[in-house]
Amino acid sequence: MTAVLLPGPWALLTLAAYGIALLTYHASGKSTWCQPVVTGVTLVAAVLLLADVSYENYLHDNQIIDFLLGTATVALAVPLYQNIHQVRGQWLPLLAALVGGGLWCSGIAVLIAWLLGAAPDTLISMAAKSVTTPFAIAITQETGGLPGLAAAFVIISGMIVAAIASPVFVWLRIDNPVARGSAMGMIGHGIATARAVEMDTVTAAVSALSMGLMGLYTSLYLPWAVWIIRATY
Amino acid sequence: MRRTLNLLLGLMVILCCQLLGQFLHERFELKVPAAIVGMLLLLLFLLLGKNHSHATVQAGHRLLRLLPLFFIPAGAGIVLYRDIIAHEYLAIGAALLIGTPLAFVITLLLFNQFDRSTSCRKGRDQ
Repeated sequence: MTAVLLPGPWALLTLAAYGIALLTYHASGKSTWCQPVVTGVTLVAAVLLLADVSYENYLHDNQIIDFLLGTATVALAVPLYQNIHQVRGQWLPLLAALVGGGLWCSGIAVLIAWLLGAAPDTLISMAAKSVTTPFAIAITQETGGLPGLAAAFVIISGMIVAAIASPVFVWLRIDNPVARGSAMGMIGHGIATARAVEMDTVTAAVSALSMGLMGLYTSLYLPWAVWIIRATY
Repeated sequence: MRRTLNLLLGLMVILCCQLLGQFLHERFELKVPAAIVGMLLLLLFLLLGKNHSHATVQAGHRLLRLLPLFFIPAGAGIVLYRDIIAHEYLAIGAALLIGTPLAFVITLLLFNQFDRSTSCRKGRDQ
């Protein structure tokens, strides 16, 4: 890591963008399509493009915020710890969904993107989309994918899951809140967890837990998988 | 006063886990990201020291409330990939729009499959 962590003027842009994003989110009645992250990133990206500022300059000023992302990722152990007891006797189905769902989530997306001719970097970023944003960023930094792209993939997946969750539960007749929560957290991450909060507390707690477990599980196997693929190329 | 001290104590625990995670990551050239090594350490700490975890839990929640803010700088890196998106929008769009609902349904079915088998076994045992 570089020695300079002091915030520069462009850190103000990040804070202002997030402030505006929060206001918009509340004004929209907390709509799934109005996520603060999406608005915030869009505003920052728009200013960078319009003012012709290089991303390197912007990131240099924002190193302290980037460091705190690591701190907050570590803090994700807290909801993991608090929700572990919600699962009780349902560890076997939860772990089956985790191991299988994780592989499918990465596998299907990578396969479709590969069939349609995406480049290797895009494929690695796509593989990391089965985990929540801070994990996806950490994993792509580790494996050499594109963190910004992976973050966008994760957020879009989350919005899709938040939108389809209720109709799918009716269609498949899923009543068990542990089943609901685990699928939402594993495939839809933070954004779907926010949607789960509106359903009931068990769904929300299990969703938060599953999100953490999926991040952990994927970050354990994916770097090795990518390493093997790179070595064979 | 006490609350502030507790918050500081909690932040120190979390920061220690992050730094220790970074150290272990570099020292042993781990493939697992440093922040996740740190998260595992914190989880271990919370599970082992159940009665002393209150301050850490509070500090953790304070930090997590700002999590979306913290990933804006990394997320804004999307501006670097304009060309990739322009070239591969079809592959990316299809992977997300088809892959995500499919993975969601598969995860639910997997859960149900194993849930049924466990409840059947419980039924037989009784």
